[in-house]
Amino acid sequence: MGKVVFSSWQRFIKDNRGDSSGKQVEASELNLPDSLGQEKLKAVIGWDGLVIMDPEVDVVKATKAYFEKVQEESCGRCIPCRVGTGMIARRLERIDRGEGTEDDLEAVKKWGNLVKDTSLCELGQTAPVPLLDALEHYSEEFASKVEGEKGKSSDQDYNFRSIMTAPCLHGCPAHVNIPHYVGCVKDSCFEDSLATIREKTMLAGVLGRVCVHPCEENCRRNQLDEPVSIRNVKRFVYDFETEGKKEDIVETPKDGEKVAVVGAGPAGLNAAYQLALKGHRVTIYEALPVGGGMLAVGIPSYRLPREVLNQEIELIKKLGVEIKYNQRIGKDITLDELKQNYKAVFIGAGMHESANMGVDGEDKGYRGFIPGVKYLRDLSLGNELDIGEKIAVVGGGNVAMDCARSAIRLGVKEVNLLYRRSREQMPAHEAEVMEAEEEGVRFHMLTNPTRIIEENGKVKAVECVRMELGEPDSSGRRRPVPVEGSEFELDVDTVIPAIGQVGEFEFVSETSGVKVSDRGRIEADPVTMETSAPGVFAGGDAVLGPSTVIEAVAAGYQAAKYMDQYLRGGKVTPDEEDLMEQIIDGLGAYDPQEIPEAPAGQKREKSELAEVQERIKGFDQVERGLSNSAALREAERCLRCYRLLLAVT
Amino acid sequence: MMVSLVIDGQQVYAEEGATIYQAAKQMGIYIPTLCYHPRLRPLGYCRICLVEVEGINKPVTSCNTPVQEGMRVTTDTPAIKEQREEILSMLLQTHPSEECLVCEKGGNCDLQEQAYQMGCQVSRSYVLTDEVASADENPHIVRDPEKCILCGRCIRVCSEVAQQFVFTLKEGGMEARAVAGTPEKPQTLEDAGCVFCGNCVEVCPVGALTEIERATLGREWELEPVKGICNHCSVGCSIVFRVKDGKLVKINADAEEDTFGWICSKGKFGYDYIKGEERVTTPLIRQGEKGAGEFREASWEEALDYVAKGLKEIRNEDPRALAVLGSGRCSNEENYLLQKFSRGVLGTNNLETGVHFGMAQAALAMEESLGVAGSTTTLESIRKTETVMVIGSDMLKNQPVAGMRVKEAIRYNGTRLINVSTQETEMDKAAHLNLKVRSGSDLDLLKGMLNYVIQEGLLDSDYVEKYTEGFSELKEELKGYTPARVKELTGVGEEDLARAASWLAESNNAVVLAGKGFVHQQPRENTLALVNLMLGCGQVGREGAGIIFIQPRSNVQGALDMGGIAPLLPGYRRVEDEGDRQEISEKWNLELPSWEGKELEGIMDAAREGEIKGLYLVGDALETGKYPEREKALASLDFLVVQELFITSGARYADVILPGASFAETEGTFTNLERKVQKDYAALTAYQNSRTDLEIIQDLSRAMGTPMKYTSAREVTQEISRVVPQYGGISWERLEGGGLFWPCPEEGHYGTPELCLNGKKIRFSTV
Ligand SMILES: Cc1cc2nc3c(=O)[nH]c(=O)nc-3n(C[C@H](O)[C@H](O)[C@H](O)COP(=O)(O)OP(=O)(O)OC[C@H]3O[C@@H](n4cnc5c(N)ncnc54)[C@H](O)[C@@H]3O)c2cc1C
Ligand code: SF4
Ligand code: SF4
Ligand code: SF4
Ligand code: SF4
Ligand code: FES
Repeated sequence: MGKVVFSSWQRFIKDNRGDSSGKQVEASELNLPDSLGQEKLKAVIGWDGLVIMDPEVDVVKATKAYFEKVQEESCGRCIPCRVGTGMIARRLERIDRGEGTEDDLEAVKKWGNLVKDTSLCELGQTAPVPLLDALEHYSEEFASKVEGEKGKSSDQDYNFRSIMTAPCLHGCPAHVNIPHYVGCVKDSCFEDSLATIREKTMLAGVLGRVCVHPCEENCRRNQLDEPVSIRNVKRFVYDFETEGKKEDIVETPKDGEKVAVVGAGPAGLNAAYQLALKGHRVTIYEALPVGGGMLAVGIPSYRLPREVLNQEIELIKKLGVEIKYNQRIGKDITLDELKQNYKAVFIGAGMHESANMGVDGEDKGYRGFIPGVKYLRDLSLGNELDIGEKIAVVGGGNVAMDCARSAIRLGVKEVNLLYRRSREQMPAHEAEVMEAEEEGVRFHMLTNPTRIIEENGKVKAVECVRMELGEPDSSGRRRPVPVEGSEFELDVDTVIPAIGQVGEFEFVSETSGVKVSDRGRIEADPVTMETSAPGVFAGGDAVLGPSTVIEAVAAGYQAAKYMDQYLRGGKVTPDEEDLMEQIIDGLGAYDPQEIPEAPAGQKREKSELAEVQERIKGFDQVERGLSNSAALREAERCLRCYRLLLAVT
Repeated sequence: MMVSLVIDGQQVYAEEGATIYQAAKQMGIYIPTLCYHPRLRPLGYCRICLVEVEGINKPVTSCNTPVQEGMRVTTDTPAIKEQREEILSMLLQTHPSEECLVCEKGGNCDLQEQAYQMGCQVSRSYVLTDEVASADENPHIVRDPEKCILCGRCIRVCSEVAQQFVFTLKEGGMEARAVAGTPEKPQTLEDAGCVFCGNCVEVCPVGALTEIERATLGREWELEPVKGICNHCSVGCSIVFRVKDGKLVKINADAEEDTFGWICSKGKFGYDYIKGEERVTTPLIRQGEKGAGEFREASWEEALDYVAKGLKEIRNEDPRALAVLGSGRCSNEENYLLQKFSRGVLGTNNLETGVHFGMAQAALAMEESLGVAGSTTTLESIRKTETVMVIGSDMLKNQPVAGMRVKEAIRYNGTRLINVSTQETEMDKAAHLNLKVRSGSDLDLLKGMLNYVIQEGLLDSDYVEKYTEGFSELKEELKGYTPARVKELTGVGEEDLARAASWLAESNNAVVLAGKGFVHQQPRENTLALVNLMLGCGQVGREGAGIIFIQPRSNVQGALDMGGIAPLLPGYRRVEDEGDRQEISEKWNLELPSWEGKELEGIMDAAREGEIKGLYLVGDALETGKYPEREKALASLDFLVVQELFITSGARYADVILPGASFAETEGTFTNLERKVQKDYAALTAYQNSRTDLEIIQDLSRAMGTPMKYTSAREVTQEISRVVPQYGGISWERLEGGGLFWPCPEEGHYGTPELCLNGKKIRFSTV
């Protein structure tokens, strides 16, 4: 581990220069890697200060390089950043050349403070932070340059690499350029906004409805009032640009290779979309008669209308992607055949089997015992449902909510939801839980099924036991333990377990070289998505376990990037962007301690919901989305928290 | 809701959602701004409007920060002042200040003003480095990117108002520019989709965007502003003529007016014709063959005598052989006098002055059913409605500022647009639903829509019950108009019909904008069917809902109000009605003919057949350029008097040409498509030896032996207010404060923007 010579990161000064008496800080304490690829990391300069790891680094030069990048990235909207950082860059350049004066140092400092205090967005507001730190803590270096010293090094001695990020953007697994697409809405350019999202994924309309929005958990406005309703803004631009209009797309020229994708879920679709954009000829093999994976056969249509999904799949097809439905790998064609017939393969097969509850009778094939994912799949595909009048759904996650709320819409008289922990501990989104309750789902908290009771091969009741919360477990949540003697029977004719999903990876043959872990997941590199078999990549639920649409989308994006690299050069190594991302991963792009200096109290706009009475009549969309004026107000709330990081190697 | 806050120690109450800047302004507290524009969404780019807010450790921009309860704001601490100055000084480093000497914007430049007020040092170290693309070739706008301060207004106005998205921000620090096209591929304005509405020029605070035409014609401070009403279309936008030494230098949108406040290419740049060159400067008398276009110059005296003699000869024989035609661009006063002259002096009812035949029929149908001979609501309704249906109008092309309003509603209010048309139009792209109908099948479509509304239970029964009668007969009559049959008749698919009908019926508010195409065939029937549909949907009689007619020319409505059509007398009195005739006759103290007069097409036919021998043609009423077959009729006349600015193709057949004045030289009132009466001021004096129409009509009348005694246009307006009941309360004094919507029956009346159904029972018409 490299030592840190100086750090002002997070406004906390650690100066290990000169005397060795102080505690030496290790790079790992800042979660910084030692190197960037093959090159040793000498310093990091960014929005939150500077970290010097190599005592020989020319700080003046590095600061100058940083400001030159800031100038390039400055959008030009506001005067202080557009002109001010340019003026600073010029003076720093002069100082670095050894031709600067005391006046220049004064000017740079004065402008630095001005730019910091008066710029429109975070880029300008944070750019001077490391400069002012350097001027203070490395004043001798500046002074000696002003006195004419040429400096011990030249620009050629260093590699400067930079990356722009933002807390929300970094929090989004797919790194969708959120400040930009929200900014486009501010500027009334909804079309450009949609195009920005579509750089990363076609599924803007889908994500605008069902994304779990980790970006919002990383939004700086959290500290001010409430996060920007990023997902709803995304939905708005999709809705605005699509309603009543025929969105069209031109097929990209295909000068690339033949690539196969297994599964038309979000991971597979996005890999295919990105590969097609890069000019490859992609064929998706999908076991089901419909595309979308869990979007089509999991998430109920009251949350995601199928027209939205199908419109976006249609656009992907128009781009030149072929989708072969009803083609199950392992049955209709083998993975080895795919490997032979295509130059590269992506596996995005998801997880489509319900996990076992470990309850007596669940494996007996009783009528009325329907695994959650099967039930939702049959519902979506229009298959016959053998569902009764009084049902019990088991589980506390979003899938369980989807099962229960769908049952309400099917007219089931009594929908019970059994969950072994307390309501606060439910992993389902709070809004989902509330909406389910409003719609009439009966919650049984701290209740665990123990046995399925049957009569003539048909479910008659479920035996449950009451639970209480004991000691915290490894996840930090208090573990539920059964209360002895509290067993009771709940009369139901249908039991729907929805406690998790597992994959079905028999098609991953030994000969393919792809490894499946003991936990039943396909093994793949977290950055490049490559599996243990060269040319075979995998991502999404199949690799991560049941996760989210945006993670699947991100996996598809990453995989396509490295498949392209593989197809063009035969090698797979993380590129600069991903290496820089690792530095940001270490430092963190979002600091929940930091409170933005901006006016607080601007309320977050909420999407309107349909009336409960209307909702439960059928599968019409529950959320109405933001009105145009609300979407614009919401976009105005965004602080545009772009920030720049420079790595010196 | 009101919010209370403190600004510079003063207690201020402001509307929730207002900005600090607005709250301060309302208290008379001045905060300097640069990128801010009152009619655009705030940008927050320039950072000049910084203020201090207690509890926030950084200054905030007042132009885009909403007020909050209990906020404490200081606008002018020494620190803030210094920051503003520093920022402006930085900006000045990138601005070629030495060019101020020759800049068109000098004297009216926001940058100059701020720099002066803050006492900024003008820097000599100009740091703009890269080569700035030179201005592109186009007929109207000079772009000088070097002067651009990147305030963002042009980008914004083009995306918010014109919605052409011509300008984008090319990012990159000091290399950042406002470019046309995309950052990767800058284009000329035209290639980037510019429609030359000129609104970017209107909002540019510096000399980076200026009008080509105005170059070197005058410095900003020399230009005298004169308020006017654009004469190009029926929207009637408020404009400002900028005049120097009796010459028109440029035209601006009138930002203070209560209209939309924007302008279009016709209004902004379409004033070439005013400037002369080709204009007739003195009366002309025909020399050679009719139609040859050979004329000799004459004095007014000679020309007037000549005309009077010619017209008198025919009149004395048979006034039915005389006809009068006027254009749709004349003021109310001119229209009024022209038909007064026609009926009272020439003794002929053969006249059509300034109306549009189809629109007139539609207006009369509106009067018949709803009691108002025009639109039931105002353009402001577009902002308050959920659904707009445009039928038979390419507004974006022909009435662009109204078209921009529709686009604004779509983008900012989520309004849905249904576009009914027979051909491709500019509106197609903006619409959510395009219904392409077979020509002449509007009526079937409207009936089909109403039938769908009734059959699907979408009828607004409470409304129908409360305000209408005759519904059951109508319901019966419409039964046959099933979606399938309507599809056969109109070509509109069943699903589209259903969607359009349900949008109209289910919206809280819906507005229909009916254009020229709608009144092209069966104007009366179409209008009555439209009224039926809107009544059935409960969409008439309040703001945000109703029917608006998009009339083709600027004063089509006013001309009709003045009785500019054969069977009508001023104020919708009828020639055939003895009492009405009597009333007007007494008011005028003139004998009025009672026989049935001919309208434009009738007059043309009669001229060709030799029945009509003399014609007094004011303006380009015949549009012979567009309808060359009408020249034949002109050729058959014995005596043709043309009052025009130019020798048009029709004017070549004239016996006498009297040089008229342009709208910039005319003073008077105009009535726009909303029934709004507006005052136009004369910016220029009549060109050379030409005279205003008002003067000429009076001169002629005198020469004919029936002098009219108006000393000014104002007196004509006064007479109109006595003769036309709907205009009873309209006077120049009142119009100075903005337009008034008729009916405005008496002095204290505020006008009637919205047709109100209070207590009325409207009868469904069977058509
Ligand atoms: C009920 C439910 C609700 C959810 N709600 C949300 C939500 O609101 N927000 C959110 O972010 N996430 C949600 N998720 C999770 C999300 O849907 C998944 O994380 C995501 O769909 C995973 O994408 P994927 O592409 O990896 O796999 P999937 O979406 O599962 O797609 C895999 C595809 O591969 C196909 N396939 C599998 N095996 C083969 C084979 N051998 N041959 C050919 N094709 C094959 C499958 O048929 C399927 O179409 C939900 C999940 C469920 C079950
Ligand atoms: S990046 Fe931010 S701070 Fe810089 S010019 Fe743009 S808005 Fe201003
Ligand atoms: S305020 Fe905007 S840019 Fe900042 S974190 Fe939130 S969404 Fe992202
Ligand atoms: S051209 Fe004018 S309006 Fe446009 S950004 Fe530059 S200064 Fe502003
Ligand atoms: S919309 Fe009509 S009235 Fe307005 S500026 Fe354009 S032409 Fe003139
Ligand atoms: S006027 Fe407020 S930022 Fe420009």
